[in-house]
Amino acid sequence: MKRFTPYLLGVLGLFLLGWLGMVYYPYMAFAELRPDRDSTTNEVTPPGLPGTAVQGFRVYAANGCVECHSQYVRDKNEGADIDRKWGNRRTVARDYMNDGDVFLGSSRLGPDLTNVGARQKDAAWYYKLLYRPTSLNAESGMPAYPWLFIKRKIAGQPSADALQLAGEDAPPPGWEVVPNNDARELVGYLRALNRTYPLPEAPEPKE
Amino acid sequence: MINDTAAPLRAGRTLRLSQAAIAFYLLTGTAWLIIASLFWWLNTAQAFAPNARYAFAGVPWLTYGRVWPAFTNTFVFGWASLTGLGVALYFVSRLSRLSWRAGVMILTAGIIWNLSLVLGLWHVLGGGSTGRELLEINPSISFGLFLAAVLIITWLLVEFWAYRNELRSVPLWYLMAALLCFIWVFTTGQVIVNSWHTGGPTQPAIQSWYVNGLYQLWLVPLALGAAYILIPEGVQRPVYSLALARIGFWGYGAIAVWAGLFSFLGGPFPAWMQTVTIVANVLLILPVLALFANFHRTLNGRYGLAGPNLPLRFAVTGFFLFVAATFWSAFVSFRTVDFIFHFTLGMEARWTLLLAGFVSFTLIGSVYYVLPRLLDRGWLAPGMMRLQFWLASVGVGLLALDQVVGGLVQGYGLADAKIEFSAVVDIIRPFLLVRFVAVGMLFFSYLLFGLSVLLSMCFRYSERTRTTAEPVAPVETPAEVSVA
Amino acid sequence: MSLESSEPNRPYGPEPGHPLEPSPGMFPSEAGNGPVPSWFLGVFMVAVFWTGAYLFTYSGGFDSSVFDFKPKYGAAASGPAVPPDPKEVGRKLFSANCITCHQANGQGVAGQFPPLAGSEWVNSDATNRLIGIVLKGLQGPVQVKGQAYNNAMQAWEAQYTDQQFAAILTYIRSDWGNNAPPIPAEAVKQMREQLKDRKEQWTMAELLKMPAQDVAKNAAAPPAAGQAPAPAGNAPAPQTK
Ligand code: HEC
Repeated sequence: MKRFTPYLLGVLGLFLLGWLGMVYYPYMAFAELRPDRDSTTNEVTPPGLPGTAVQGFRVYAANGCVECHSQYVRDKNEGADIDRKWGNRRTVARDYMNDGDVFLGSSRLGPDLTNVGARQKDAAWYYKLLYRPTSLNAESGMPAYPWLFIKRKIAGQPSADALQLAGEDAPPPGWEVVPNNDARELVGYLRALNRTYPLPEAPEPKE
Repeated sequence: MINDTAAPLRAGRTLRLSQAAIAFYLLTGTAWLIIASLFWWLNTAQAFAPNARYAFAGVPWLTYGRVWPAFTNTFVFGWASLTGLGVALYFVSRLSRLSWRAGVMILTAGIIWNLSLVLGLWHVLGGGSTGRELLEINPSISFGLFLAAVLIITWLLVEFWAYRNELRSVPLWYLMAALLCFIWVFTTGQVIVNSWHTGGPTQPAIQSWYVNGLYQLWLVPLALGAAYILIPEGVQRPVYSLALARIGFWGYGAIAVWAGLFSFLGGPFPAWMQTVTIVANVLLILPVLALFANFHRTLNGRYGLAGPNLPLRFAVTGFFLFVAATFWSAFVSFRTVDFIFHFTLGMEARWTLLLAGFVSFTLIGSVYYVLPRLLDRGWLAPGMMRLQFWLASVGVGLLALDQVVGGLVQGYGLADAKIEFSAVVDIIRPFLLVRFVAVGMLFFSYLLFGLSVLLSMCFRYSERTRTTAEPVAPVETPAEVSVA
Repeated sequence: MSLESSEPNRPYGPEPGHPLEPSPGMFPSEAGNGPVPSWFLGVFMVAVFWTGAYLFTYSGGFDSSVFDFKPKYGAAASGPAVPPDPKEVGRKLFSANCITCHQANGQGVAGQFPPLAGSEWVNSDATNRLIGIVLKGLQGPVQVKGQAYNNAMQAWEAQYTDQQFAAILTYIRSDWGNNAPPIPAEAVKQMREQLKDRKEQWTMAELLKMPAQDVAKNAAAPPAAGQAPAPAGNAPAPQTK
C-alpha cells in the first residue's frame, strides 16, 4: 500500500457498497410503500394521524420521551411484547409510513408506547401522569413534566380540563392546574398512538 | 542514547499557529469530556431517582430526556470528535511530514466547531431537540460542525494529494479513512434525515446507520490509527506484519458499513436488513482478531512496559476493551440473545466498552503522548495520572459489568409477561445505583485528566517531567527486530 | 524508511535524537513483514462458510416485504397465497356494513331490526329466501322468533359480488350460536339470475309465497379454495384456475 489513489478508491468503493445496501436501497424500497386497502371492507391501513397528533411530535421530541419509551412491537418469538399486551401483532415498516418523525427508541425504562392510545383513552389520565407520575404510582420511574401545565388562580368558573389532584399534589384552594398548549398536543399525539389495525404482512400471531 | 540534557526548544524554533490550533482542539476536547461526563452522571442519578430534588426534577432544561442527548452529543462531537480531529491533524502532519501550515484555517474550523456545539447544547437543553439520536442538534446549527469538518478534511486531502500522494504507514490509512468517512456519514445523516426530513421507516433506518457510522467508521478508525502509533512507539518496535495490518484495515472497513441496524434489531425492518447487520457484527471479529494478532506480536511479550509508559498503558488497555466490545456486540446481536438484552441496560454495555472504553482510553493516551511533543510541555504529578487511569479502568469495568448483569435481570423480567412492568422497574433499581457510582468514578477520572492537562500547560518539558509519564523503552537486541 | 532528519528547522516538538522521538531506523508505524498466522486462515474459512449459510437461512430471500426471519423451507415460502377464510371475510364485511342495524352481537334492535342470532330465517334450509332478502331488501312488518319488527332494509345486490354475499351469509350462519351450513357463491349467482327482473323490495308475505328451496345444497360445487372471495390485502385475488 504505497500509492494514495488506489487506496482512496478502495476506501470510497467499499464505503459506497455498504452505503448503497444499507442507506440507498432501504430509502428507495420504503419510498414505495403504499397504504393497504382491504379489498373487501375498503378499510385503509395505516390510517393517517390527526392534526393535533402531528403537532405533538415536537413536544415528544423536545422532552426526550424517546430515551425511555420505545415504539415498536417485536415478533411473538422475539420477546414478550405481545404477551404484555403492548400490541396485537409485530409492527412493520408500513406502520410508520405516515409519521413525520419515528421514535422507535432503544430503551424500555418505561413501557412501550406503540399502542398506548388503544390502552388509555382518557385525556385526564395522561395529564395526571405527566404532571405528577407519583400520583398514579408512588414509586414511579417516570419524571414529572410540570412545565407543560399552568398553575393559576381560578377566575370565575374552574376550567373544565383542570386536573383532579388530591393530597400533597393538589394546588392551594382557589387555584387550579390546567394543561398548556404543549401538553394538549402531546396528549393528542399519545392518544393517537394506535397501531392495532390489521396489515397483511404482519398477521396476528395464533395462540 | 538518551540525551539527559535535552533542551526542548532550540533557539529559533517558534510555536507555529497551526500547533497552537491543534492544541486548541485537544484542550477544548478535554473540557468537553468533563462537561459530557457531568451530564452523564446527572443522567444516571435521574434514572435512579427521577423525581428527586437532587436530580433536578421539575427543571425543564435539565430533564432526563434533554440531559441524555446533551451528554451523548457533547461526548461524541465535543470530546471524541474534537480531540480525535486534533490527534489526527497532529499525526497526519507528522507521519506524512506535511508542512505545518493553514494554522488560521485549522483554528477557524476549531472555533466554528466549538461555537456550533455550544449553540447546539443550548438549543437542546432549551427544548429544541429533534429527538433523533445524535442528530438532536438542529440542522442549521450542526451545519457549523459540517463546515468545520469539511474545511479540515479538504485541506488535509489536498495537502496530501499535492505533496506526497502515497501512504506508507499503517496509522495513516486509518486516519485518512476516518476523515473521509466522517464527511460521508455526517452528510448522509444530516441531509437525508434532518434536512430532507425523511419521515416514515426510512428515518430510523438511516439514522441508526448514521449513529453506527459515527462510532464504527469515524471514532473507531481514529482510535485505531492512534493505537497503531502509541503501541509500536511505546515498545520501540515496528508493527509486526503488513499483511495482518492490511487484513485488519480492509476487513474492518468492508464489514463495518453493513452493521448499521444494531440498535433496532427486532424492529420494523425487513428480515434481510437485520440479518445482514447480525452477520456484519459477527464478522467484525475477524479483522479485530487480525488487529489483535498484530498488536500482540508487536508488543512481543513486553506488556510490562505499559506500566510506566502512560500512553502505551492507555492504548493497550483501550485495545483490550475494543476486543471485548467486538465480542460483546457479536454475541448480543444474535436474535436469541438480542431478544433478552434489547431495550435493557445491556444495550448500553456496547457503548460503554466502545466509546467510554476503547475510544476514550486511546484518545486520553494520545493526548498524553501528543501534548508534550506539540508544545514541549511536561507532565507533573504522575501519581494523579495513575489514579486517573485506575479510576477510568475500574469505572468502565464496573459500568460494563453492571450493565450486562442488570440487562440480564431486566431482560428476563421483561420477557416474562407475568411480571408486572413496575416490578421490573423496581428490580433494576440497585443496578441503576451501581451505574451511578461507576459513572461517578469516570467523572472524577476525567476531572483528574483535565487537571493534569491543565498542570502540564504550566510546565516546560524537562527530563524530570518526561520520565514521569513516558520513560523510553529499552531497545531490544536488534536480532529480535525484523524490519523490512 | 528512515526518518528524514534533514528537514530544515523542524518547527515543532522534540527533534530526532531527542528522547521523545523514536530513533532513526525505528520509525515504528511502518509495518514489518511478519507472516499471517495460520490459525487465521482457518478462522477465515469457517467465517465464510457460516456467513453464507446464515444469510441464506435467515434473510427471507432478501425481500423487503418479509419481516419474519424464520427460515421457510420448500414450497411453503413461495406457494400460492392461502385463500382467506370466508367466515373471516364475512365478519369484516358484516362489521363494516351490517352492524349498525343488526348489531355486533346479532341481536338487532327491538321493534325495528330483527335479530340474526337464532333467527329461523337465517338458519333455515330455505336458503333461496335468505339470499333473496339480502339481494333485494325487505320492508314492512316481519315476524322473527315470535317478535314483530317493522322497518326496511335496502337491496344490497349492487354492493357486493357473489363471493362477498356468500362470505357474509356464511358468516352470519355461523356466529352467535348459529350453526347452519355455508352458502356457496354459486347459490348466490343462481338466485341473482332467478330474480334478475325483480325491482322492488320483498315483503314477508311475498317471501313466504316463494317455495322453500335449499339452493345452497343444490348448487353444483361446494365452496372450493379457488372460488373463495378476494383475499384481504392489496394483492390481486387468486382467480379460479
Ligand atoms: C426516565 C424515563 C422516562 C421518561 C424520560 C419518560 N417516561 Fe413515561 N414512563 C416511564 C416509566 C418508568 C413508566 C411506567 C409507569 C410508572 O412507573 O409510573 C412510564 C409510563 C408512561 C406512560 C404510561 C404507559 C402505560 O402503558 O401505562 C405514558 C403514556 C408515558 N410514560 C409517556 C411519557 C411521555 C409523553 C414522556 C415524555 C414527555 C415520557 N413518558 C418520558 C419512564 C419515563
